[in-house]
Amino acid sequence: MGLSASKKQLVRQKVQEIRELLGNPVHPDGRPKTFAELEDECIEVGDLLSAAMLQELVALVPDSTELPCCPTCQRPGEKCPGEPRILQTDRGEVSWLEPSYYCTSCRQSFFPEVG
Amino acid sequence: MGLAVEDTVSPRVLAKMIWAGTMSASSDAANQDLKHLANLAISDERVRRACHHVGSDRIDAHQRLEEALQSKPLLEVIHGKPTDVQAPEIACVMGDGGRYQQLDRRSKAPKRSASARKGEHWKESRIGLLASMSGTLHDSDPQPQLPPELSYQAMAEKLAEIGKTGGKLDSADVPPEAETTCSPDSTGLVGPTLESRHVVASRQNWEDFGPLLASQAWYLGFAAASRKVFVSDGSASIEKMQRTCFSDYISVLDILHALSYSLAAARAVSSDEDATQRTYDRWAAKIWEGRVEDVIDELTAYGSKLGPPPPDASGDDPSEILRTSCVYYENHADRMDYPSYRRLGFPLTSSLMESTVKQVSRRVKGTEKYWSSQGGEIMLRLRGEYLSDNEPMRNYWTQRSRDACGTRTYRAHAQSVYN
Repeated sequence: MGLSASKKQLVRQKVQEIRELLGNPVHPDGRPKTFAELEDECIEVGDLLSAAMLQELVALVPDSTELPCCPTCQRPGEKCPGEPRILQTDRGEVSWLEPSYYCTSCRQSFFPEVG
Repeated sequence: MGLAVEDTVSPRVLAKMIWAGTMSASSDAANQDLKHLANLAISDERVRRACHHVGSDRIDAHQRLEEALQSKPLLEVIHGKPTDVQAPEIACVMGDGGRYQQLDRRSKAPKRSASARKGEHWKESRIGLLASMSGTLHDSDPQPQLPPELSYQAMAEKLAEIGKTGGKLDSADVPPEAETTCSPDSTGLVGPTLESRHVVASRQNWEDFGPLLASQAWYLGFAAASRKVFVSDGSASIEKMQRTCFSDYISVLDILHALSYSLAAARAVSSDEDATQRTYDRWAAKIWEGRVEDVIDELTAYGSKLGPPPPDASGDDPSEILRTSCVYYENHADRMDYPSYRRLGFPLTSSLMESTVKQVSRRVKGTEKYWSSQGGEIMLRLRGEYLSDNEPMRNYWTQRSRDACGTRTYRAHAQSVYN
């Protein structure tokens, strides 16, 4: 998936804000940071941003409007409390509450948002 | 969201785990690679389990393809192809065996310490190479003279290695680059250009491996290719697979294997290095020119002079070497029409296959590596997939996300068992 040019421009504007947040590329004692240190710092920021964005986007995935049916017997399931889920991603851990349903006929839980 | 219920890592991370588990030397090495290259802390056990799950999926998918092909009409199987696939200019199939150690710890096998010494855990893996090639169809033989690259001076050591006739080179001395850069024209031969390769590896026997390889070939459009060739080293089981599953392919004997028998025979009948060189070069030229019958005649004449090998003759006995070479050429004479093969633009060597076997073996073969039946099969299949240029795993990841359902896999399995 590629970002549109306008969205890329907006992201670049945000980069400026983050860069200002990080301050100058020098240590507290005035020594300039090495390239390796700068690279590590930028990757850490990137990872934090990616994981946080993913976390927010996952929460935005809309619930199904219809009551989901059991994948086995196709009968509507009963809504249960969400299941906490933690997923290890390429850029850190992301957690959310997985919508969960229970089929009284098949006596099994199912998680329609997963698929 | 395209996630399976049991997923604990994102699809992107899972893909990296499987890649590392398959392409690194071991699961432990995969764990280190993931840590140092991808900044991911994934234990070797998790890598192993993930490979097991995904590999099982791939085996099921291969099985489905095989069954789907078997249900097609015969004409379509022989000449058809999937609509979204373009048939290659030259469809080239090669097969060879690799080695790995199998040990099912739960089975009632002899104690490992005693049996391992005998080497009884070593099994043969079956590896197939489906090479899509392009090349010119010539009106006449484009290279009628034996190239100097196949002369005694250039090839004696290499051929001795193939034919095990006392050469100086040991396989361990071959640098890793030589294994992967070997191409059809690396021996100075005029040959086709490799467009892409697809690798299939399995621990199944050749009878079962043939249909698997044939089904994968069909889905690559091989059946619809106008020029089809099957190159092998002359092993009886591989030839049988060719006759059974690739009967409309022109069968070619790897010329390097053919020449290795000439070298062995030349050494057996010659008194010194110069005589060996002259005899080998003469026979090599005849084989190159498609005159294997002349070589057989000469071998027979030499055999008459030496007399028949004694019943307890060793493999080093000159008369036995002559007899073996003669039988080899007689058995494979109809697969040694090299001038015609050059005119058709076919590859004459299975060097691509040899290098592929080494690449597959790098993961599964090792004196310290013992695979269960299932684990070995899974790793061989995955290794083949990742060594393939057409990246079949890329489609798998897309399909896996689409197929993800909201129930645990073991429940789905239980349903299918009880229903």
